Amino acid sequence: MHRRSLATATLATALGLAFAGIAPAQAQMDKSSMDPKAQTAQRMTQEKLEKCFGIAARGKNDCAQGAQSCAGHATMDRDPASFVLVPAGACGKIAGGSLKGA
Amino acid sequence: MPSLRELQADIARAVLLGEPEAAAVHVMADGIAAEQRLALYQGNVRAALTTALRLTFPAVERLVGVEFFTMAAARCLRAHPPCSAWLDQYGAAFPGFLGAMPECATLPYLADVARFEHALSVAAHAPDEPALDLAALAAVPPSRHAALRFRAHPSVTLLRCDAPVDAIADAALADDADALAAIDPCAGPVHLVVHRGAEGVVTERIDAMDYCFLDRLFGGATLAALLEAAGADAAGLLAHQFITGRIAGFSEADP
Repeated sequence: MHRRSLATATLATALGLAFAGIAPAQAQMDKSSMDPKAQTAQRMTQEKLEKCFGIAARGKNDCAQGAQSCAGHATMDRDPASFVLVPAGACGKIAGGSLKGA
Repeated sequence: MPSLRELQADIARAVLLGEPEAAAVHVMADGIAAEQRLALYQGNVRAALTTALRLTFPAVERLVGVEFFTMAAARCLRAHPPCSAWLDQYGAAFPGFLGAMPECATLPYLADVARFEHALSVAAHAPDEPALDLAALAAVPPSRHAALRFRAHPSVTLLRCDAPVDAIADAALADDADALAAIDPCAGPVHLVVHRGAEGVVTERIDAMDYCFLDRLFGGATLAALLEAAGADAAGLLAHQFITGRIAGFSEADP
């Protein structure tokens, strides 16, 4: 019975808050809405269109259009196993981010 | 004469794995060698799929550099060819693949940054669902409250990462050297909930206790089971999920 009344009480409170639209801030919301990540997310939201090979809607299926067909081939076709690459981007700027011999 | 299925398998080997021999037999040369014709398709497919990954994982690309990213994408394509023509869906295997790459062993946070970016992509492309019907929920008789189960919106992903992946992704995308230098990848875990709300894709940091609650909530636990180990403000937490649209529906499991 206790479980039942707790569920009812909690649900009633939750519904009351939801109807009023004033749920207490449970956690800090992501601070800025226009940071790069948000912009990426925004772009992805805008891209939310039906896409499939052969149909050039806006978005990822445009990738193969244009210069890729031949020019892309030369760089894409290198055998990944034939050369050694290490991550060499912004990761080097993270202090202590590169744990040697991990 | 091969069956259509055999021909398709041969073409797939040519364009996805770079093994054109079997397919070349069926291609008319006519001035350009069959292998070269197939290589054009292979280049196109690999370029399209690599760009698809690049658009879904921009922070990962910044972190490892363009060359390394391209190599990792090419290897991932061999190990995990796409299983759908929908390019937005391609890349689910990429975080795990990165995590298993020996070259990435020095960047233990990289796979989690990729998981985070994949969650953003899932949130952006998840199907729309009607909002939770609060009136219908309010109409459920009290005797059935304990057995209620809730269903998460398909855009929702809950993440627990050992490094502050949201901050890392922000700093990498902003190319902010100071912000990157200020990041401590060993500062302890972050708990994130990503979903698509009315204003687009949103990331919220939550604490470990709320994470446990939401993990069980989105996992379909009954309300009674949820409340057995909930904090003081379970009602507020639940209401927040209703309002943000992270809960799309409910069911009455055992009347």
